[in-house]
Amino acid sequence: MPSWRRMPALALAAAIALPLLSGCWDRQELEDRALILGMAIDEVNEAAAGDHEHTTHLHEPKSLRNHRILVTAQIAIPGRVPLGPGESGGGKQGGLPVWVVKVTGYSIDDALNNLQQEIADPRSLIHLRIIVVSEKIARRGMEDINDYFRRNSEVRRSTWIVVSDIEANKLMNVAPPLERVPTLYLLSMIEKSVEMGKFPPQYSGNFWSAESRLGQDEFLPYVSIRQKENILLKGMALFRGGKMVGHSEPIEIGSYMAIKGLNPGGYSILGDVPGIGAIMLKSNRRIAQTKVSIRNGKPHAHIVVHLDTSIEEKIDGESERYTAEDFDLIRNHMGKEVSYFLLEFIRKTQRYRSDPFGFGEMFRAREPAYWNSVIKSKEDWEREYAGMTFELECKVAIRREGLKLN
Amino acid sequence: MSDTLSISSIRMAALVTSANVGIGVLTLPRFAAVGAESGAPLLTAAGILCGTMSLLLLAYLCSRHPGENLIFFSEKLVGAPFARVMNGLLILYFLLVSGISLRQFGEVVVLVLLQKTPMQIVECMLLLVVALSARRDLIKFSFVHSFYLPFILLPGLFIVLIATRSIDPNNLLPLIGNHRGDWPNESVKIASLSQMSFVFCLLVPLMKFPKRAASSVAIGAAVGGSLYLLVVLTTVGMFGAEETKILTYPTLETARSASMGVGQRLDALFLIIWVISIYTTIYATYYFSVHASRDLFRLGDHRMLASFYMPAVYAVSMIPPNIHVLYSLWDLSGRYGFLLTAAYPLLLLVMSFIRSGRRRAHA
Repeated sequence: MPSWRRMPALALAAAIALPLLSGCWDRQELEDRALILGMAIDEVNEAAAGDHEHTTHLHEPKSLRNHRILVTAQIAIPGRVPLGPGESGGGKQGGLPVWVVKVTGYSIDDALNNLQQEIADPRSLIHLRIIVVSEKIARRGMEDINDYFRRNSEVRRSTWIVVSDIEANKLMNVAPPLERVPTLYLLSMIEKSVEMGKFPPQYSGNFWSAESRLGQDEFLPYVSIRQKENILLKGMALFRGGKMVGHSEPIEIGSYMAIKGLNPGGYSILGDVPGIGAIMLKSNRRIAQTKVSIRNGKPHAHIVVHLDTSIEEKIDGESERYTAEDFDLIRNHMGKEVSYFLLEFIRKTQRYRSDPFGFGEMFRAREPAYWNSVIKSKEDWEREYAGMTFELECKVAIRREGLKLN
Repeated sequence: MSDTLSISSIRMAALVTSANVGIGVLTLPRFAAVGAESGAPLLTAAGILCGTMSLLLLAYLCSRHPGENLIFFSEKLVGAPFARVMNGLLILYFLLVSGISLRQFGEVVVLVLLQKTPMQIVECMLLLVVALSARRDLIKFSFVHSFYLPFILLPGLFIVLIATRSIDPNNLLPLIGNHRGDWPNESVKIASLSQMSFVFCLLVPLMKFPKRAASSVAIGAAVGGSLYLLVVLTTVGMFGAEETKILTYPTLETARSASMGVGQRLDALFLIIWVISIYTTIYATYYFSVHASRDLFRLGDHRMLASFYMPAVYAVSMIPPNIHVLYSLWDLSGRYGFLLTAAYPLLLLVMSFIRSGRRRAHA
């Protein structure tokens, strides 16, 4: 068949294929979508919440009575968000580069639908980086929040979820001089603490995986505001059965990371060594070995923690001796002190019946006979965890002490 | 010129790998985790071994009859009427598989990539590309597969290797899982993924050395199987079995989580290679149906059939009303399909032994 006789058919095929293959269907301009960068979720009482929007329902759903939440969304204003460090445009002169919208609803999706009724551009969660949840909501239960964000394909598993001890929406307005976009400041605050070894990389994905496991409870960063404009990383929010049950102190984040052997090391330990004075040790590297076993039918763990440290500060004023002569004394003493407060943190989590370490997973993996006979659900493990016994050894090594030797 | 007109052993292996790696990649970790919890990798290995064995049987069978392809020599072995019925069933089975795979492709694209594009358009485009390329002859068919293989394997390996950093060994213990699962049943389900490369039985007669078919197929199936195994290992190792069970597309989540640190959004790269691997897989199953039909009906040309089967495949892809029905249909077709694609060649092989024994006895 001569080729020219096929030409019309080919041309037709090309004409049909061109608009379809080039993916124009989903074309959307960046300026035409409302990119939500951050979100805060608060409890709201029925009286203060005002009218119902009736966007997704006509009658109040019975199972969600008194369950209304306030969602504060930070939407990026295209053109005003500074794209690089050199770009000075937009910024403060034109006001904040984000637009803060508050809506109420019975669930995240209900609230977001109400939000959609108020703004012109379609909302988009592809750039959602951080979700702040108030402690009240966290204590009430996170199931609805987890469900919505896990189901939505736009949300990344590297999004951060953070619990705040005050109203979450206040964190949406914190805009210190260092960063022009409030959400991005909050985000860089958390991400940098991960880099410095101040917090484990507990992204929402890790949080959700822990939630699914039978032998581990989830935790989240716990933050607060100081002096109006400063964000304080206050500890870990501990969960049991999908509800927040308590929180740790900041240094206990270090305890957690030491017990898990997470690096880089970041926390400094202040301790008193008799005869020498107060000493500040900075942990540089953490190594942990955990062996689990069953003793008298009870779960038992033997943990050895190695800390590589350096001396950062010595406050005595009396001793003129070289510190090196006292290294052994400092090591042994600090080792005991550290193992004491590591155990202290474990006991605290046992009182909460919340196992953020995942000891249960170790039993599931290594002692399947015990696990299969005793543990049927997450509650079973949480109960067993409360009665678990521990042996903990902490070995401190001092590697360097800075530019001064006594 | 004779080089380009016959199929080398390596190209045969490439074809088997690229046809096998496909639709299962996204969901396999979930099926394996549901089947055996932390024993998912072992279950996958068992399933892949099972599938590879059946492919090897087929390859050995084909290399015993190097002059003709399966459609022709089966008629000589078990008689024309029975062979035609069975070959017809194979053709129908692979049409069904093409349709279900097409629908799975459409579902993922609409859910994750192009949310506004109607699924019908997405499916039609892929089907059109497959049908157009199915008009080519067997040699070009094998070229297409060997051309796309590096695009499937290398980025896949890259993502998997990045993700291995976040594996927690506890997630992969105990090796056989905490509870006793239905291993035979589940491994057959996984074995059915290997059957996507069934089409190689039509290409053996074109091989330069048909006797080497079995070793080529073994290499090809091993490479594809290893990629599947790595995907399951990293995904279950990263999320834990319980989490993997509830994720619709666990491997996609692996790609999304792997992007942390090493540049954001590695999932885009993953989806691109995934589209290519789906294309090569549907191409293989569709091509089998088209080409086997040509030989079954003794037609001179298969190009007309390549267009003729399009509506059928599209119709199959539109049958499941939702994703649950889709996956139960996939499950069902995998189970019975494996029975068909493994037992039929076995029967033929037995007949082949009996016949050759009789011939020797006569001589």
